[in-house]
Amino acid sequence: MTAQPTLEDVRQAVAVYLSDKWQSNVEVSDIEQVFGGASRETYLIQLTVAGVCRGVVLRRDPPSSLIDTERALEYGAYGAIYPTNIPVPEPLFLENDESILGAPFSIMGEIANAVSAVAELDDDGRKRIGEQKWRLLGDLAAMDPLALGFDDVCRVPELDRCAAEQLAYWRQVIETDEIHPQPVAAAALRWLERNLPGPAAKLSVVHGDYRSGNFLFEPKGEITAVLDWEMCHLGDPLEDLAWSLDPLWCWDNPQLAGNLLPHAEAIRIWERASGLVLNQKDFYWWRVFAAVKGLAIWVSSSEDFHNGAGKQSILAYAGWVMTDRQTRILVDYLSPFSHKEFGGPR
Amino acid sequence: MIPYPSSGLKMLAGRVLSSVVPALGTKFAMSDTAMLAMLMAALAEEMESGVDSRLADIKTMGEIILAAQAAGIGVAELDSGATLQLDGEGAYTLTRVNELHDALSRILISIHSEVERSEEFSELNRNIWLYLEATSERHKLAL
Repeated sequence: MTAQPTLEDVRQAVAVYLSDKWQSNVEVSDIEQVFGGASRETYLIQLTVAGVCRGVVLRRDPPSSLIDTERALEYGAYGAIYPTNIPVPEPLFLENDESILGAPFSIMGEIANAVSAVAELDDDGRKRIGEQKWRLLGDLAAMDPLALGFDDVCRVPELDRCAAEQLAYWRQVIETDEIHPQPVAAAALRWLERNLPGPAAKLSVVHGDYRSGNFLFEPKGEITAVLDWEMCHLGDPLEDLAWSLDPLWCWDNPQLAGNLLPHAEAIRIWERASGLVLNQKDFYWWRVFAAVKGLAIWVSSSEDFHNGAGKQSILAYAGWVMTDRQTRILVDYLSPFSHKEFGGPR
Repeated sequence: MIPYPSSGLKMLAGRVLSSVVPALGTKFAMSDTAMLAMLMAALAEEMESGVDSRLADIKTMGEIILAAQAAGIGVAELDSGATLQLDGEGAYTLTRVNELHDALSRILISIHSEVERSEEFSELNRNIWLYLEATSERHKLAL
């Protein structure tokens, strides 16, 4: 198997693999690679299993990705969340044997007839999907991660260490991967160090990348799947809320969180669903942290593209375009002279 | 000599978008190639304005660093002979301008950490933030 399999390679390998797993004749009737999956190569595959049609999604580790995470963590998160009311694809198989497709991969059930582009929604659709988006996030924050078995999936931090541990992790990513010195990131890291928030109100499952684009919905209906759990961890629920409200996800319309709802409304829905009350001072810290974490990811993707570890065009796009936008957001947050045009923390 | 390389690269990117992308066989290949064309267009912009925008940064950073030195803030890099501007010898290539830009950015980070919490140096802190705002606007890619 070559490092980058062709669609035909994947088609043949999947048919053999699933026939063996399901002890049934599996044929691949259609396969396409999905563009934009930055952390894994993603393939949408239509199967006939003993005469019955069904779809699956295969996620294969790329040589390099925006987010260097363990596939077992992501797969474990899907398994733990699947029985809850948070919709996720059904996890089917996690395969670490690299001889099959040249890299480890996982297979999940397909979410049929779903889209992810919120920009195509009309005003009613934005309101409907936005309300669901932050209600689901509030529901996730309210859950007891230990009761869901997350202590088998990831480390359990102390409540008063959640912020410091996340900060240390992303600081190290910036310091290791920056190609050019980052004065704005450096100023933001110093500010975050000086202003660490209080202990988390509770320990929650943190999705880690909860934003528009990372969930699927029926165009006229409901959210049918929350995707991309590869940065999932346990921590402060404010972390996900802050990330979901980062202006990067609504660049052209900073008043609408995630291009869906006014910020205050999104927060109200989250508070109601989570049963938590926002601590404004701590939340400000997490907003700044979210922008720094974003910057770390873009700096890292730029470095991966530059050093040749990853050749995907999405790495260059993220590194070249998003770094400057995220930097601009951080200046807006932290400069005493900013005009606060992104509507962020004040 | 290639006449007007940046506009040449933009035209090639446009040709990829208008002729190559529609002829591709899969949605993945079409999306990937379209993004490559967009990135080529971004590179064309950078070829055209990259040296100028970095030189503008270098000029402002140099002024801030000199002001910091005049205010008595220790700048170890200057004491050890670092330069604040290109000396005019040799080509103004992006690589050469990047090296000086990086060196000055490191000094700026060091000065900023010294002055950001001091009333005494509030003017310097203000000028650093104004520079950071200006440079982040200056380097914004139109994509």
